[in-house]
Amino acid sequence: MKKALVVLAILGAIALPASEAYAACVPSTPMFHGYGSYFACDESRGPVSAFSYQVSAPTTVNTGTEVITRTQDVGQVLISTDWANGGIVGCPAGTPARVMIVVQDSQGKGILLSLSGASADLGYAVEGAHPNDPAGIALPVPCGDLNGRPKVIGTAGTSSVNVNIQKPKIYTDCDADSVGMVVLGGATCIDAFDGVAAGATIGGIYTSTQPCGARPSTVRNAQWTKSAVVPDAAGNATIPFTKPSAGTDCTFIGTTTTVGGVEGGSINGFIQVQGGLAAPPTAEGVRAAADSGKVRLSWSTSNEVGLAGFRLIAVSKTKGQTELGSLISAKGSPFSYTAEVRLGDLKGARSIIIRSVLTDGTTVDAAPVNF
Amino acid sequence: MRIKSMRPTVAVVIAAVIIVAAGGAAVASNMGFKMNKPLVLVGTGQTGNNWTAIPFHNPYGTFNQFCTQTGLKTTLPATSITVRNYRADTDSFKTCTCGFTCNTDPYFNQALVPGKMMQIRAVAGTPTSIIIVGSHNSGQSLTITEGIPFWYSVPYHSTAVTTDQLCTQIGLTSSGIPKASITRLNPGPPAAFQTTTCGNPATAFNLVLGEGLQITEANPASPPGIRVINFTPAHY
Repeated sequence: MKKALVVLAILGAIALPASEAYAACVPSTPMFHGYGSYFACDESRGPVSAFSYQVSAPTTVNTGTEVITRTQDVGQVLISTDWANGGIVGCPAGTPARVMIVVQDSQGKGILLSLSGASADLGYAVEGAHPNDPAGIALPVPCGDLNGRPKVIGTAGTSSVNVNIQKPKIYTDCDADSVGMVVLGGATCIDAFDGVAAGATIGGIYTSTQPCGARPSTVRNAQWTKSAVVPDAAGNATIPFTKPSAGTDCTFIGTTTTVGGVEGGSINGFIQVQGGLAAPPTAEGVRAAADSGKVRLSWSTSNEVGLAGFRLIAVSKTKGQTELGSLISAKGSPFSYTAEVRLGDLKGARSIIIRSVLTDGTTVDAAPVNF
Repeated sequence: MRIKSMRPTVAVVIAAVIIVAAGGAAVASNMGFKMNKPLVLVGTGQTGNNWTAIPFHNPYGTFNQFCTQTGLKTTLPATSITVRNYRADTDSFKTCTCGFTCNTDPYFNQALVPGKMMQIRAVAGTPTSIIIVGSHNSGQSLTITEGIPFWYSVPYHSTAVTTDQLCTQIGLTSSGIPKASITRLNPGPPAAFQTTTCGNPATAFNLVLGEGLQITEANPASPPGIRVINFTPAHY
């Protein structure tokens, strides 16, 4: 959580001076996962953090420097905070006092989720905006690309990058399948926010130069420069950027979300593009399942700049790592891949690594997956 | 449960009558007791947040066991319990839900801390009164850190009748400005906070049986540093 703390400290340093007149809640307004569900987010390459703000007042009512997440188990992240805690800026107010929770993993994937707080019984229990689980209470919400995270689809010279940005998805307690609607009969939805959320748009595309190897600060401030470029109807845009002069810096491209006419207070989804030490494209969301004498693999990419292809590596406790088959060529733009390996070829290995091979000959491994 | 003989003075009996009348009904069995604690159900704002004192000796074990033994609501939407600086001064507010995270969150799935109160947020469907049982631990010392709000479980046999008496017993002796403060949350409806500063009888109020209080010792600039106050609650 150290990186998250640093990021949130920066967020708070920005937010606090502008918020001295806004009192925190007295004495307690919990916002937490209280009913057994969680955010399913990959923490294998860094911590997951979150930030929350009142939708109608993002800069004056927000979670400031407060660390609002905790890890329950591998890949299970919970919101666990109280709007009365230290580091919080302001107290949600109004009818309803609707808030947005922005979750981000270290790769810029995440979740946008909004709670009204309108039900006195449920309060800001986060499960109110989770999809209802007919067999339980609430299904987990996964981190994904629908938080406004750009996808690199190509380059235009050395100082521009072509991206595609999908319309953001906001989970709300007004969604027809949400716990708030299904279980509580709509007590959480007094503002028809599902319609507002459906109209959410990309507020702006921003670029920022920040240190490589660390999750960037995502508060929407002077560190991020708003691009004049607006995505076309298909979500495509060509974003110019300045290559960082310092070898330890990288360029990041991120977006904000505008909801109900108000642009949010943070960069939601982001990617790291080529810079001094830009991170190579790594296989994401790797899955493996054994079936009918074969292991079926799937993974995806969100950035294939500089990527030549992939190699499959079998990992065995006794035999170490063994390459399987030949290089799987990269498609050149974000793509979802599948592959199959015969169990017999694995020679007892019980896990596989998807290894990215870059055009300069270097490699980077995704986390091993078991099957 | 510890059993002791008791011979209260007339003044103490009167005091006990006052706080019993104000807060509910308690049945004393020497030093062990059973108390009918009324709960206000949720409404707007803080209404339905019941600041609840827990006996220093009690049979509850963990938070979830407290939920189940007292019959709090354990289905969605469940009764929630909030604590403040419960296990450490830096903990701030933490909340669990009966039947859910009160059982699974490691912070809550461990022994209750003697002397710390809890806020029971009684959602619709929660009983409007619960039976709390236990006894006092006369040897239990508590520690209040300057500037850190302490959610105090007032002993059910406290000899302090008013907040001013409680200030004196604890040793909240800060002078000048700021001074120590004691806050009560009337769960309503409508909910209302009632706060007094120690040494200011004009704003003092009577303790209510079964209710917890927030006590904050002031942290004046002089002398420098942060003082801690150790005290053992007086009781009869």
